[in-house]
Amino acid sequence: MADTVITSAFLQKLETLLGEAHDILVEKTGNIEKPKTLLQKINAAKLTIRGGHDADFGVKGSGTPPSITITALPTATSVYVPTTTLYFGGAEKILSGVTLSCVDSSVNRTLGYYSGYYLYANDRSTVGGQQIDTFILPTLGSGYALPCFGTVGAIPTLTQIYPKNYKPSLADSTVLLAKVVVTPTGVNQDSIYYDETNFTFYEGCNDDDLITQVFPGLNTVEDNLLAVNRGSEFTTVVTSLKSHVKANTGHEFTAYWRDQGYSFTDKFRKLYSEASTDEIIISACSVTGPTAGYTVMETYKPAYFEAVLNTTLPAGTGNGLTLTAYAFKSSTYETSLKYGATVTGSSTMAMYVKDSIVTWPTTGYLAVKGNYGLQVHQEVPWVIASYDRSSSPTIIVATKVTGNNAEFDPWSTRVRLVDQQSVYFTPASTPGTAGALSTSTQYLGVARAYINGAPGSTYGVSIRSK
Amino acid sequence: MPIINNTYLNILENALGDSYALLLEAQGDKNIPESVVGKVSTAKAYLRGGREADYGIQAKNIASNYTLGIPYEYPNNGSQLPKTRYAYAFDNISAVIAGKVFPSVDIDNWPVNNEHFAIGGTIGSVAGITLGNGKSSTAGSSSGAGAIWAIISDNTPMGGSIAYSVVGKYSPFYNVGTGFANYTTPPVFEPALTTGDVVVAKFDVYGGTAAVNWVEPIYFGPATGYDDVVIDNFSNLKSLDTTETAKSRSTELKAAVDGLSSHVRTQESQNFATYYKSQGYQFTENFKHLWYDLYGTELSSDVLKMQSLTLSPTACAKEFYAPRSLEAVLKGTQGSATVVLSVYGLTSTKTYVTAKNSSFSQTGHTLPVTSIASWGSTGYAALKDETAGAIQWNVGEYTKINPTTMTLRFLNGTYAGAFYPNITEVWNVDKSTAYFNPNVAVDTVKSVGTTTYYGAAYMSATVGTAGTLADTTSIWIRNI
Repeated sequence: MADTVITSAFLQKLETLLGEAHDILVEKTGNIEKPKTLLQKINAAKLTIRGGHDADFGVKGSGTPPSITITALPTATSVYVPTTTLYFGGAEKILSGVTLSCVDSSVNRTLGYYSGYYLYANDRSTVGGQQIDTFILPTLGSGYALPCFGTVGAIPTLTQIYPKNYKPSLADSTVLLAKVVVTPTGVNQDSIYYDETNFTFYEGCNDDDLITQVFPGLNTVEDNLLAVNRGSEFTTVVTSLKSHVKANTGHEFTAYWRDQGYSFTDKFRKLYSEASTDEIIISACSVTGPTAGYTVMETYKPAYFEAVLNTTLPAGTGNGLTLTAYAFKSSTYETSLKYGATVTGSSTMAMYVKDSIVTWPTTGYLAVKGNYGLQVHQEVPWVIASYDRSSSPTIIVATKVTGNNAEFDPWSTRVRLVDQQSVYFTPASTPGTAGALSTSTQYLGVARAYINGAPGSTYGVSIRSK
Repeated sequence: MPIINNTYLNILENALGDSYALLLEAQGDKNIPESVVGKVSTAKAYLRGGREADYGIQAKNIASNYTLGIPYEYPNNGSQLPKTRYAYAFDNISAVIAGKVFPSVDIDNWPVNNEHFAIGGTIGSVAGITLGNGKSSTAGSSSGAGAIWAIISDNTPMGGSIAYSVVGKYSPFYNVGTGFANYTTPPVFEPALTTGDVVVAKFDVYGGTAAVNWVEPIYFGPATGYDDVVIDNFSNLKSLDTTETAKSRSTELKAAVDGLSSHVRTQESQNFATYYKSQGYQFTENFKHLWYDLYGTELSSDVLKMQSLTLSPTACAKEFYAPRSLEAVLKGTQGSATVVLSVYGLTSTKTYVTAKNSSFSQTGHTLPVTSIASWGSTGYAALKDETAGAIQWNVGEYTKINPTTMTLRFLNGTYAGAFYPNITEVWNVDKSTAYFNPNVAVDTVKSVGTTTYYGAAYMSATVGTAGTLADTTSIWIRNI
């Protein structure tokens, strides 16, 4: 019987099943900030003994370790914040007990959107409460003000109300920490995530024997879970598939399926990247004419990227084509937005980021992306901006690059360093002509790309990993 | 420094137990489609042909990748499939349920034991069903047909509503908007290579909801000319299937549990299980499972409690992971009477109910079962009822009529009125007797039975000799 390579239809069945199997393990393992996962539970157990916190935020309880459970966010727009200590954004803050109100009438709907972290409680019956009409937000440095209710540029004022003393305790089940996003139409509850016990800043056990005898085992389990490579359980099967394709086609697995135009599922791509030394070739971006393309796929490992011409360019002077792309640097150059200040339609955004970015170049380009569209919950493209971080290790002033770009979105979450690269295609270049974005730097994907100098609007370029 | 207090212990054992439950849920088994083993087993069966799970549907004339479904050639009247537009090769379709192949012509005799099926989800409430064979039920009714097995498709052909057609002698189908229509003969359709999936579903008629159990079809294997594909890939897929099925996930948490265990031994000079049994600490089910899988022993737990000898005891929520001896503990003052305790312990022998449409009566019931050939001619049996997520044991005296039939007479106070098909498992139980002499001290312990058990389904107490029984008498049963 003649050698037969697995068909794409057959491959699809297998890679879908294997990718989903791997994903089940990865999802259940989770991370320390994801509720109902192994790492969240083990981290909480570890912190119960050690004290402190590991997640990005937490509520410092007093006395015995607090046990916080989650209740549904009330649909009412007033919530009470008990007096407590909040560990937030690297600084410890004391929050007085207040009631927060986010009624629509308090929002100046022409000013766009803003978000922040809020601590609140559902049960006001034991502590009383007073009404205020704004949110608690961290104080900002001068010159960088968040839009707020009523007035552009003003820091929201807060009426401090001091109720009777209130201490989070094991009996308390209603303390929540959430990120709330305010839109012109109200509060976006989909943006709210719920705090669970692991997000609490624990006091610690104050017990030498528990620290000596119990803590190491918990810490070891957590370290192992953080380092576990679930893909390694599938290495032999992935190796079989690769060997099979090589033996029957003479081509490497990734190159063969790239040439077949086959698109792997994202789950199988992730599995492959963990179980194999190489990675599935992705199509990062496609650009046609003056329309910018932006990536929906990123590699799991850094890779070299190339731009490939899809159409024939006319001959003659002036018929060359320049592709400009903004490619993601490695994951060490990524942070997240704690809160951002911008106004709808503005080209400038003040970004307060979670991590110190002292290792980033003082100036350069970045890409910032939100989770939701301005109107509905939908994927939005990356916004490309030039930046300057010289004033602070955690504050960036970003200015959108001109040309084909998206709008700033203060709901943005990811902030990444990108390199600007260009590839020039000479006149009369034919389809398949390729040019490397860089021969010395590997990237994780392309945030945005556009074509300059095209002698028309029908010329296209694809960007893919190699 | 003292031993870890119960508050901290509770936090830790909950975190560790829940973590283990997450790992087990992820790993699953071949009969759970949305699990690691389920998916790997399916991939293996797809390459090899045949089936791996205990269920499936064998279709005719299929290609190597296929689905079965109802063609989208429907008039959108929103309520029914036209009778005459579809033809199906009814005789060529069979279902595999619980490891046995059932031709669809025999749908009346399909077993209703859904133990071997994974629950795919709830498809919505059943407004009311009128069946073609004269059986009927209304939503919320506790009587009626019980359950219907059907081969269905969720292609949403009815203008966006979910429609189901039943292959076999029961021909109603359900539209979420308009309910069921009634046919005395089944609609006919021809399975085709469309985009829908065919599933075997069990409709809980009386419950008002329908559980849809999604299945993978029985594969015919790769097409001609696929020798290389099979040779190159099957061996490692098979190894992966074997490895994942056998993988011990408990080892990922062992260091933490070892630390706890070591701490208790250091502080109290007793092993972990012994110390917490003496404290009466009740571990969570998930942590007990983790402990057993790590060390092969079972933590002690209270399985039955009886207060004042007059209240019905609550039986153990789950069977033990390993058979254990039982003991009774006097937890309240007794008085001058002798207490005669009868305890019904779960043995390792169990069978399954096979009949459909059965409801039980207190005084006697004839129960068809898979096999009781090895059981004694008479004895005690406990029926496991898992309605609403809680386990209740219905205990009775049985008489073996033949190897697949018993009569059952329930003990007073043990029949909860549940009915088939909630009850599927039937356990053989041993009745043991223990005595507490008059005026014994609180915490006096008496052994129960002479062997090990998987749990205790029921207990009752009587006064053996004349004397006064204190109102505060209470007795607990626990494993040791």
